[in-house]
Amino acid sequence: MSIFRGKRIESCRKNVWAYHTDFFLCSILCFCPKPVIMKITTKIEVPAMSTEFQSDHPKPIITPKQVYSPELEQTLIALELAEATDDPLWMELALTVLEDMDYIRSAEGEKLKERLRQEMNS
Amino acid sequence: MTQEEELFLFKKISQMADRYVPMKTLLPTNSLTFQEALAEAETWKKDFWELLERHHIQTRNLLSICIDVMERVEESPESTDIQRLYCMLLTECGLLFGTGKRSREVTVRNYFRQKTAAERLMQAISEQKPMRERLEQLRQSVKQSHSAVVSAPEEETAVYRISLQYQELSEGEHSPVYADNVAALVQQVNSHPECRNIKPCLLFAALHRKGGYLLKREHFQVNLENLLEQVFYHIEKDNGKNFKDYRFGVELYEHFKRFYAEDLSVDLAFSDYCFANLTNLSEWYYGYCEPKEEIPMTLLRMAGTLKSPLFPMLLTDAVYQNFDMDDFQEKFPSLVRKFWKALEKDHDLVQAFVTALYYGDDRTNIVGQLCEKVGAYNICDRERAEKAAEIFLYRETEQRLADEMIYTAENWMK
Repeated sequence: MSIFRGKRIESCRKNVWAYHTDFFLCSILCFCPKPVIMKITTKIEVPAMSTEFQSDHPKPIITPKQVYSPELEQTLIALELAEATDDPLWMELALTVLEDMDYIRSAEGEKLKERLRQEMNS
Repeated sequence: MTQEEELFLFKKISQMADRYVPMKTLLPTNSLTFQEALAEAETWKKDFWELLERHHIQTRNLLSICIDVMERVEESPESTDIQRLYCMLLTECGLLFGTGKRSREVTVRNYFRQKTAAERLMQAISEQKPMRERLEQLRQSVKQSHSAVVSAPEEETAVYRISLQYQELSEGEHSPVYADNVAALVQQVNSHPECRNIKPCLLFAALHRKGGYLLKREHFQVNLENLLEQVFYHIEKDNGKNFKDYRFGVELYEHFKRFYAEDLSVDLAFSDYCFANLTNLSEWYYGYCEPKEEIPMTLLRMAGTLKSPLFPMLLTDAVYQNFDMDDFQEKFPSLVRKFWKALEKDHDLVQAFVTALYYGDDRTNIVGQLCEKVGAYNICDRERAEKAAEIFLYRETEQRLADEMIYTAENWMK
């Protein structure tokens, strides 16, 4: 709804376009038989939210916890425990896990495996 | 595993590789040479055992140490020595009790990891009392009348726009009163110097709890005193609506926190404390959401988060000697279920095992009782049944000890 700035509108039949109004509202009021008095209050004019504002102040997104299959859960726990010891064992375990996975027969997968091997041997 | 799960695992391992810090980077970051780090690790270990001795704590085994330390925390929570012992124990990942052979490199890495976690927990413990007292002072302060309204149009508009990004408040764009009410809310908070310190928390609380009124009721004014009261939501179960509401609350708080990150009048640490302790939304987040980033948490949650995955290691390799647990679980799955069920219900039996372990007494009798209780001797041979029962008793004890140690942190929250 538009903001009428401090003007009492007795009738919108005349000079309706002199006021900043919604076209739809004008249409209705133009056909209104009685004078229409709008209660005016001083309001804060807030411009529409720009995309710039939204990108500067993006909303954080919370996502629900994932439910894992027992196999995946066990693998994650094993990796977590191994990592917690800071032992290169976690890398060995990770390599074993990666070798077992079909997905990892890719350049990206090979790169990760190579990275782990290098760190283990350093 | 499905392909999605394999992809997830691949990403997880990539993240682990990304956060792995090689020794050649770890040492300069800590401003130490390798030998110095090794020496510091030994000193840290020595300090731990000396503290135990100084406070006359039984060192029969890890369980006896933990139980005695927990008792000392209850008796003297203000003692920094006891706080230190508690933190070093909870974050133990093999440095203090030496689980198996570790290389010197692993020792140094364990030292850095454990020291960082323990110091973080100690810092959090030391902050509890001052924060609690400050919150109490704030509660008294808001009861008094405050100074004239402070207007900041840009800030008021920004807070209004941030709130519109949420479905729960988006109708505010078409509400004739919402913009005014948000402006008035920001002015009300800004007019009170102590309230300005926790603006993210107060704005979140007002918009989350009173959003409906702010959207519809002209000249609605929130009661700041009410916003500083504790509110506990039913976070145990999703009824189809409540979890969405909790998600909205957490996102809103984090949003305001980011917005006020550079505002020097805001004390983010205190705001975080208030958010974590005035509602249980933080607990909901850690229980039901993917913890992609850390949000404010209570001391209890922090104790649980910083607890080493390896703590407490009561089960040593000696217990597993000549026994293949995986094979046992595969061959006797029903017996395994019976063991777990019995241990869940029979607290006296577990307590008897804990007591025997604490005093270093013989536990054969208790193991036998468990086997009898579940009919284990009718299902498999005596030796395997008793070995399995012993291991299950140890695991149950480990779980209960871990829980008790974490809940001990409550002593610093009251």
